[in-house]
Amino acid sequence: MLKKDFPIFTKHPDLIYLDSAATTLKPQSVIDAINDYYINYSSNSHRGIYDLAEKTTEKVEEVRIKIADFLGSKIEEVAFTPGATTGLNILYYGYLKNVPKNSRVVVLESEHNSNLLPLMKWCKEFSLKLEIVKLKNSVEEIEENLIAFLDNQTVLLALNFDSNVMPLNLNFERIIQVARGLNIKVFLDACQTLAHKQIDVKKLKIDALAFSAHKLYGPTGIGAIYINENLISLLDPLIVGGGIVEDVQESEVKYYTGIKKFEAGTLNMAGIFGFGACIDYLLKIGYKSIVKQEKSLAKKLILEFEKLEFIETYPKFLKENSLFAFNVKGVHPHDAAMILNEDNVCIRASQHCTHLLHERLKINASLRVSFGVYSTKKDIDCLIDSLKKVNKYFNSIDG
Amino acid sequence: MVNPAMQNVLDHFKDPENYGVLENYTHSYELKNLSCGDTVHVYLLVEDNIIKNFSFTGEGCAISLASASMLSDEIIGLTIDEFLKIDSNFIKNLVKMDLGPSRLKCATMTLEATRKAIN
Repeated sequence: MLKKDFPIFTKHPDLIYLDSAATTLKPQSVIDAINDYYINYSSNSHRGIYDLAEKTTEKVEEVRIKIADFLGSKIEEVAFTPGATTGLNILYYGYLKNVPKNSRVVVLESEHNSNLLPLMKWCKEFSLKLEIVKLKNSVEEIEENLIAFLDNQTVLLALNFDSNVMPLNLNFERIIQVARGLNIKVFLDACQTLAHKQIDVKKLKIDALAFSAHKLYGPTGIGAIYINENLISLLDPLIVGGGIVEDVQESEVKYYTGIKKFEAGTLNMAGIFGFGACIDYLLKIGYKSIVKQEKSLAKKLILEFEKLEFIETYPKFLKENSLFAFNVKGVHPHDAAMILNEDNVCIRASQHCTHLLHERLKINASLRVSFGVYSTKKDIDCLIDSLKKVNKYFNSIDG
Repeated sequence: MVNPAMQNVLDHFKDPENYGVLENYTHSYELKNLSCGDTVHVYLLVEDNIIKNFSFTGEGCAISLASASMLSDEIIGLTIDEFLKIDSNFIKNLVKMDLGPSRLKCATMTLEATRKAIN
């Protein structure tokens, strides 16, 4: 029972938390690590030369090493960011600023706004053509369609590794192989992936990747980007300020040339301490065990959903995953979530920052259940009981 | 068992008051909630600074449509100045449910749309 690792369940013993794709709960070890910074370090990294500051710098750099190991990258390829959205803006601004005008950038219409909107903004800013590829009926068709858009005018393929609404399970090895054959860079948003499966950026030959800690049991306000070492010098920093300069003259500023040029300003050091602890926590449980538990929960949820004629899922035939989008037929997702809330069942109800996808699905909004390491079969039982209540309230003839 | 406040919301939701498009109206406005895609479209007949008639159409959750229905009963006959004094607390009292910030946004959609129609 991993619930014991998460102090929120002591404060809220009846909590049925099925919204881990929005943010995961935090284990005690992560909270302790954040406190450790404030109690035992509390100094600025990469600046002071006194012992306390030096120790903070060492600890921050230890976490950078941990993240590099976690991703299979070099240490010099990892930068801290305030989160995935900032990370993606850093990547897209930095790279797209220096590519030829009218080049093509390819993305899928199912993308989270954190990926899609920075691409829309920076493509417009730098006069590039953004191709938003439509979804098709099968994963194979989506892959074919995506690949068909890649050509020698394309400079970037920028995708969510996993959707936050409708997991596609794309064959990234194949897609990346095609992209690389055309000299197209591949940048991935791994926010919904790393709590569930490992990504080795070198084996997969990814050029850049962004993610946040709060979706893998870590603190909010901290994330990281990986940028392949051969690409770093080509990217201009989006945010400039203290801590990233070699020299400042009135007429010229000389920025660092390495990865740290993307870390202007004081780092979120408490967040970084927590970031290190969440990776430790995740690896201690192990992906093998996480996948096994998620499969077993997914199997149960799919079976239960199949029994309920009032549930409509997206897609129609669910596969075993860590998140599921659906609706109670004829019931607005806000109303369903409100009734679920009465039973302490927390799930997401909205467009989940994927407006284009919901337009494609021809629905205003949806419900989403997502698992974390603390999720149990009992949680699913509570969810199903509560959904039956929703159906009774809204769909029974006498109301 | 549904509590009385919830039952009242459900009643208004399933059979709303003043739902539809007015034949004669002087003001109208359509408002969309981007986070859930809900819409409300309000129609007002304003004469001599008085809201003589009001109706709405829309697609949305029970809270947003029920509060539109409840509000519609309240504002017909008010002067514009009287209407402009209505705030989110008034809506909370109408709905009689504990509404957090997100749900309050749903509940006040019609109020906001009506304000925009008048402005």
